[in-house]
Amino acid sequence: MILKNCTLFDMAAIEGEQRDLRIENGKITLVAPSIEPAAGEEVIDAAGRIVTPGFIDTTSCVGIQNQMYRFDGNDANEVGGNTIMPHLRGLDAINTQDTGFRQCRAGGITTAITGPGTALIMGGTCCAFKTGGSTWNGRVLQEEVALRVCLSNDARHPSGPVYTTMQVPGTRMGTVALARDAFMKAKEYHRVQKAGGKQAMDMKSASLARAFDGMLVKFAVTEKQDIQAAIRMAKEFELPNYAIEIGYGVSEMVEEFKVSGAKLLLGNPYGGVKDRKTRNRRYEQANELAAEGIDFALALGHPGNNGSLANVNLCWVHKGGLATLECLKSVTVYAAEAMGLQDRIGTLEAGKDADIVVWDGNPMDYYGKPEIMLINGEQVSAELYVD
Amino acid sequence: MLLVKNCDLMNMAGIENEQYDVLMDGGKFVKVAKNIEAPEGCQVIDAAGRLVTPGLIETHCHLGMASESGSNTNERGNPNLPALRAIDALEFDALPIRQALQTGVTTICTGPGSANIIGGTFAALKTCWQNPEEQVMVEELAMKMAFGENPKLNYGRKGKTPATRMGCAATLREILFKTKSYHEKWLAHQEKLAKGEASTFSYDAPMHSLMRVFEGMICKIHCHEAADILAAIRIAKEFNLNYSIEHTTEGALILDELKAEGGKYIVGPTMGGASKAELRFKRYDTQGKMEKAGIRFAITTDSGVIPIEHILTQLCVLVKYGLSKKGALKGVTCDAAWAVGLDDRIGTIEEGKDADLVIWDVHPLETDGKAGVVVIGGKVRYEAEKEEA
Repeated sequence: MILKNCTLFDMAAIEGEQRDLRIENGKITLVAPSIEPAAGEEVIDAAGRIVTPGFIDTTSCVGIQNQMYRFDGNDANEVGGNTIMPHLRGLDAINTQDTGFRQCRAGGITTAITGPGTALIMGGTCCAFKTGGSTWNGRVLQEEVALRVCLSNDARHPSGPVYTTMQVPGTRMGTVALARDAFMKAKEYHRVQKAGGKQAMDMKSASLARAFDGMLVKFAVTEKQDIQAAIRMAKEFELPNYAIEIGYGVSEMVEEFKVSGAKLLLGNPYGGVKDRKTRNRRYEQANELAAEGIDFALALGHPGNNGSLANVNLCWVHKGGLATLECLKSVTVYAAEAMGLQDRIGTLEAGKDADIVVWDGNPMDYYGKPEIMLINGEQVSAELYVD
Repeated sequence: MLLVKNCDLMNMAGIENEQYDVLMDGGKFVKVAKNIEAPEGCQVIDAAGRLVTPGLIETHCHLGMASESGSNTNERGNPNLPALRAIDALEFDALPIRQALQTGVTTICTGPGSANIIGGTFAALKTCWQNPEEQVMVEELAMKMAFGENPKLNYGRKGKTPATRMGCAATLREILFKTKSYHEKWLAHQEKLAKGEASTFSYDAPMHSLMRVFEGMICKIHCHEAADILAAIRIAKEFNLNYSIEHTTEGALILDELKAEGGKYIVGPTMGGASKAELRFKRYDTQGKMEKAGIRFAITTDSGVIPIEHILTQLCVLVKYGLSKKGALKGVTCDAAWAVGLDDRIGTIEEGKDADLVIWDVHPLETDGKAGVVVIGGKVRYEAEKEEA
């Protein structure tokens, strides 16, 4: 298939130049100023519209925390028992009938890193899953792409500490202690595993141990002290690949963050400053951190921030000062790199997945919306409503 | 005295994008005409061709109700709480109220949440937080009521009534029956006193508050599903209540009924997803469909559900999905004022009304939409260029 007459922003070297794209077997195979269609080759005319890679939501719960159902449809948080559950897999819970997927497509999102919520300290692993497509297998980009660890308020027991059992902590100290305990056990499990020794199967440690081999650990934290605790923990256990997710408090520890080596999936600023707790959730924050030389992806965060408003959210980050192209890169190429998926998604270059959005209007305008969307080279509907 | 010259005026009462001047004095609009000469001593602002509209009105929000020590929006113990008053809890200069002013919102109607069948009264405030003595417009504007999943969750899940929609409706009707009886006793008591006759009366604060709905106080009834909307209208008619339907989420499913009833409909918050079953038909094209059906309505953010600074973002999203631009502006100006019974004071730029207006640096329905100057009661309360200094 040829997608022709694109005003292409490939999130690599091409910024608004006219290009044609050839798509074969779900991949982009050629990007060139003019491609002659082969006999019988399908042609879609982008007619000069802006074309970008599909967006990547790095902190999604789409398909797991479903639209509409307060209880039955919310599979994001395994509350009520143990708070250390790194062996749960978002993969096992994804409901493709969730209207949230349609909402995400309507906002330009083609890949969601979807998994557990933030009510557990270790809620499980996240799956890199395409937001559309006719086959399940075709939509799974990576079954388990990251472990999610939450040290913020959400993971603490709402009614205070439960000292006796330490099952669900009420304090930061308790939260970190439980997380470190899990990492210690996993580290030992990993050592024995690598040494070829025999040990009883421990599903939790087996899952968490992958962090030592480079599986991304996403620490969902907002306040400065929680970010510091996450960095301290990552150092103690020598985690080779970890990200601070949301991380509004980074603004209060810029130099410290820069030397840590942590990746940043900066929280969506939608909502702005409302009280002391949200004091750093400023629309200007992304631009300020960029000016400080901090690299980040922007976490979109469906369903807390509905996927249908993804490009609208980007407009607000741009209003806060971040350059237009940097806004778009923060949810495409930078997000892909942070997740380690850059060989498959994030730019529109030969060899990558054909996850492409042809925009009606400008994505960096409230009124812009996807007109044509391809996922794995297959055309999918990006209409918000289908009646 | 304040004169704003060279407005590209949308006064929301017939003047559309024409060059006009607007003169304000004593807190009111005193003249809306072309080429007004500035009286002596009058402050003059040159709108320089910028769009000028009435100040925006948020008909339903909870701004000023939450504080650092927690949210004060909902009591949890009793579904019938008409004696509660937002005015007693408001933080008049809360940060979101300041943000409202900066966004061009000049009046907010704020109050209790929807966890109770009857939650208490809403207040109407101007957003001029720097002058708290000028802020309170109406101490008790409306009685908040609610149907649907929120009261069901708050009570039903604890094994109390209401646990069902039938229970919600029956609870409200029973309360209204009892209060009507109380009201009649009160009126009889007043009559006797007026005639100089002896009379005693047994006061009950909740019923004394609620009985005002039989004297015209608006009932703001929170309804998402069509069943709730129709039940609310049915009961309002039974008791001859002045009512507005808040949220009206399934409005597009009952267009004929809503048009026939001609009630006050406040639609929103629309931008966002569906967290509960009764929001399953929340759609960005609802207001557009209601407009095409010829139904009059206001548009709400239900702040903080949608942060107040996104009042314009939501309007743009609604226009993106079918609402006309004029309809979007009506929903937060003249039709908003009508929906809360304050159209004698606000909602349009006409002589005699409160001098609340916005000079827009960028049109409110553009992505970069931005208020340049916000005037309340004929005084400048916010200037964008001064804030950015």
